[in-house]
Amino acid sequence: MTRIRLRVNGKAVVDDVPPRLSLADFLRERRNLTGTHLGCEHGVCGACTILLDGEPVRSCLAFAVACDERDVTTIEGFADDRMMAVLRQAFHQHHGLQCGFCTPAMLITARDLIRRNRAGSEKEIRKELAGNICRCTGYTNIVTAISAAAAMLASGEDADAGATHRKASA
Amino acid sequence: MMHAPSSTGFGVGASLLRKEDARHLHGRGQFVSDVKLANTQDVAFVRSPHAHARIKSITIPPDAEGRVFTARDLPRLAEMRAVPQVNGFKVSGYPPLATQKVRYVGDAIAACMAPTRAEAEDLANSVNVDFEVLPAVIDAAAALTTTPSLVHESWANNLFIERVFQEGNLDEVARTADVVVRRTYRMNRHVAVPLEGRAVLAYRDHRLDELVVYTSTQVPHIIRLGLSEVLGLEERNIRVIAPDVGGGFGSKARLSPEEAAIAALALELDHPVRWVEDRGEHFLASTHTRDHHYRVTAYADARGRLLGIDVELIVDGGAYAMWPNGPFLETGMAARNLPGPYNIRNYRVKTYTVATNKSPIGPYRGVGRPGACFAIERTIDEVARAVGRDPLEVRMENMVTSTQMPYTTIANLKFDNGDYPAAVKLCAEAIDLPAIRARQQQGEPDGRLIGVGFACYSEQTGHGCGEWVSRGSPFIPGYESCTAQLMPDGTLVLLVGIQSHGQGLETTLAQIAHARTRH
Repeated sequence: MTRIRLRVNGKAVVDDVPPRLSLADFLRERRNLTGTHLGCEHGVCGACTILLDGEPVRSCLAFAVACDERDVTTIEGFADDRMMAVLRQAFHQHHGLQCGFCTPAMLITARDLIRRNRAGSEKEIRKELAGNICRCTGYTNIVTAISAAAAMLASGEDADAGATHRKASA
Repeated sequence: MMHAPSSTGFGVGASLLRKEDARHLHGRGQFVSDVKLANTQDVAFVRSPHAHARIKSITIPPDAEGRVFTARDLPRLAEMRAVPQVNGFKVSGYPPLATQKVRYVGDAIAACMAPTRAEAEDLANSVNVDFEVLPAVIDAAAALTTTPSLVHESWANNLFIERVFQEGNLDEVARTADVVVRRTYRMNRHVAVPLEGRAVLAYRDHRLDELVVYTSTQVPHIIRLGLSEVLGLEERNIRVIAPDVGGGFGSKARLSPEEAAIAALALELDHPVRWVEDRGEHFLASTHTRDHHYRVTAYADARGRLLGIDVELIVDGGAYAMWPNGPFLETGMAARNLPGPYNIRNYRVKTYTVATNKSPIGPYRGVGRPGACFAIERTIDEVARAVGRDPLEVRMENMVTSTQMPYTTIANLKFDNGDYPAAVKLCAEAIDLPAIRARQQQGEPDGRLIGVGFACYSEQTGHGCGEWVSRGSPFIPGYESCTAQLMPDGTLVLLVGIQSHGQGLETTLAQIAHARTRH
């Protein structure tokens, strides 16, 4: 067992973990943060994507012991995040989800590509989303939703979105 | 049936935002593996590394006592027996945990239980199974003539069932046809891969005298019936809960051995027990599908008009018949849909549903029809080639026309309306076929070859009671029941049998209720 100290969704957490415990299992089984989903457990499907120090990471491939002194944000950690609020509304409005299993990680990836200005065209969104698999929708409505969210955020009525993001991943 | 658009803005035809979105968008959906019950233990299965082998012995380390369960430790767990009402179907038991033999790679042998899945996998790795490896049946087509071994020893051969459907006079057609085209087609095995794998969590509720089984399934009521059969319990003593289900595509529509084994295990324990499938297990041991071989002989006149087709259809059914319907559903669907939307009045299909040492097959998107569609559409193209005409013209000339509607196909499927040749023509115009043909003539600058193909498919719908009877379903889930409770505050509560695995039923069933109850 190794003692780790980290921040999860803004809260300080201390735990003793075996070296082989994945970050995904740590979040799901020890923190009860079940919005992080496991679809393949070998880094292919993207359903377990979380933010580690503000960057998207596959939590099935990250070990909990490697997250000592780091900052983790899961889908449960975006309550005050304007960018995520806009994305959620867009996914709802444009029917960007069916069974909902890929949805939390799809949102986290979508938020990251808007943040990096990678949601300019349909082609760009599809390329950037290649690491997140959805078996239900055929992606069309997911791409439409991200495009709509990006446009809304760019239109200026979400001037505080950037500041909120920095707060969320600080 | 066509519905007028909703006049109230809520009923059938209205475009509504979904009720189920909010929880998923906030990561608060509840899939089986998200359900937390105190003292739950995780299970990993010991699975066969061999396609076909006799189990000589199973050695469990002394310190694993009480944590490793084989079929012998679960005496209440009977074999799953699919008994479709189809003449000539050979019934075989499917032991949820293998007893004398393993019959496919991934066949479960023992359930290993520990506080975490990782520890359960350690335990599974510590169990030693001594196998006597047997010749494996891997080629369903070859297995018709040479049998390396018997998958089920009590059978005389490896056929689940052999059937012939014949209509018209194919012998006469064979004598008079200008053109005979013989081709073989093959469609490979598929696996469904819903993003959420299968998962089961079970425990005993002593107050209600119930075995409670959370399972990621498309058919909770049918699973309850299946569990009652294999566990020898009355249905009222079993509660099956399908919470949010992360896709199914057919693969969660049969009683799985893992569901049966976990439920049986829960009966022996004083705490909850769960199994969450990993992706490797899904590829190996969930139901597979397709794996069709077609040998098609098509008879046509000099213009390419089809006079008849004579087909041998071989479906690789895998090792066991999945409860309740078995593998013939796949074969029957393919045989019925082979004539496609074409005027074929002479048809013979010999079907062979073969047992092999592969994962059992089950339903998956389209059940049998994709293979049939592929075979007939390729045949149309090959006939066109044989008579030297454009496949598009030959295809349109062979199609059932709008003036023939309503039309009953030779395989007894009814087309109520439509204009198939017009639909094909529309497609050809949309892609500017003459321009593509010209481009093909010209050749690509980089030497690539450009192909163009057309395929037509008419989806079979309205699977009512009669349809299920014709398939030999051992029970009839062709009608849906609903309990509606009007509450004192004026709200309506609907209890329904169908399960959403992404279809948004919480929204759409409310729409139907709105339309049906409003005056």
